[in-house]
Amino acid sequence: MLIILFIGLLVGAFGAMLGIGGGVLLIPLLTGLFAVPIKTAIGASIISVIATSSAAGAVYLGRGLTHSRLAMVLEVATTAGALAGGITAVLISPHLLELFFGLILIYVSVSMHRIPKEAREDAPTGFLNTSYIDPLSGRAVSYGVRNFGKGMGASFLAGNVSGLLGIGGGIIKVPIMTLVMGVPLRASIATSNFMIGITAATSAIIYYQSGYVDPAVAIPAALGVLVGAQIGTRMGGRVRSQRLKQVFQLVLLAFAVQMFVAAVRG
Amino acid sequence: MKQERNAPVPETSPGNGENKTKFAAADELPLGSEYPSRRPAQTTPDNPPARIDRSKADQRSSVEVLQDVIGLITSPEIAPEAAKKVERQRKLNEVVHNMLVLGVGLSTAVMCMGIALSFVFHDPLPSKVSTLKQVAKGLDRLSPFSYLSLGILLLIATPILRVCGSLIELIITRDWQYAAITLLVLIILGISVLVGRG
Repeated sequence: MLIILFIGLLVGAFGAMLGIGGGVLLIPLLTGLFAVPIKTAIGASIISVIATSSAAGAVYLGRGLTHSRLAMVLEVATTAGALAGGITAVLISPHLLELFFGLILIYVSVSMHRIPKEAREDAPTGFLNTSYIDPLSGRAVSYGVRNFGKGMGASFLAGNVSGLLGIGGGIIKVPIMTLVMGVPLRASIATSNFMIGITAATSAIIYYQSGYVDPAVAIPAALGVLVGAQIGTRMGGRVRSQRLKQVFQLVLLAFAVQMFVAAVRG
Repeated sequence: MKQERNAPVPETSPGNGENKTKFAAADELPLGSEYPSRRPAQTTPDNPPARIDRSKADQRSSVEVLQDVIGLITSPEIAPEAAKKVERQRKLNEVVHNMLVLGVGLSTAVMCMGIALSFVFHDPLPSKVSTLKQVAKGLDRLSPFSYLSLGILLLIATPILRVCGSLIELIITRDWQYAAITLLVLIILGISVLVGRG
């Protein structure tokens, strides 16, 4: 139990520093090191995702970065996606899940390379306009929402992946919100994070009732990730190293290989 | 930016006393004291609002911001409505914020209690969660099993209660459109409860 707690701490800290959710790191570690079945690992991960999302969500809300009305609308898509994903995950073969997980690990590893930059000048569009005060510059940033339909579609997909694989899904939502919907990066991260809690709760209910939430794994993992994320957030400003990112890209690729091997071995 | 923050009050308030109180109320929300970063623009007494020159090009963006945050300041008759909207949004955020903090704190405490109990009773951590009925039964027996499950359930419930909280707040403020959207999310959650059982 203490080892899982420690791993949760590490995962939380590095996840927060790298700006990726803990799930992509936690699940391969649990299945690889502790021979936890993948569905149980997903159940544990989804619980820790709720914990970190709720804790971080409160902080972002306090800073006024979250576009909570946009979140309310997109949540319809993410929860619907999570519902479908959760049902699918419980029903399909674990090896198929391992295969999917390997693929998503490759996607995350590649997309870490190009963390989305601010795409264009943010401007009110007349649809769901809002504004926030940039914490760095102290400048007020005002923006509206574009391409709402595409955003809903991407949110459904993000929720689906989240429910299926027990990850937060921010890795899909944040780039879409930033590049397609015209939401500033900071607001995207805060808003995406805000939605993750309820999205994860939707599939967590399914996992819980299907018996894939194992307290001996989920609780130490969740507590560890929760504390680790606080540490990681504090250190995040200082550790901006590109090297760290590259190391983790390789780690994720190694995890992907591990998942493929597990999937093929059967 | 600084002087404009205060602009609407004197500009729109002549002959509209109600308007003025609305803005004052929005500014005096307790939330503001908790989150100073959200409202860095402070009143500067040496900058009387009358001095605003909105034709200045470099201030254009802040004017837009202001129109967005407080409403179209050029049309006094809709300004109170916009101010109400800002106030509503802040209240909604405050409710949600408090629920999240409370939920995470409470569930963490219960989980830790469960772990402590399992150490006290030298039980290994159970590897299965229990149903609600079993949880309720075990709580007064100080069963670690029940406390661990309860901790997880509270954690799952946190974002759900957050959504319920916003729904109630939206209904109180008669924001029917968003109340309906939020209700839809809760219906999807309800489906997942039913599906998981079957």
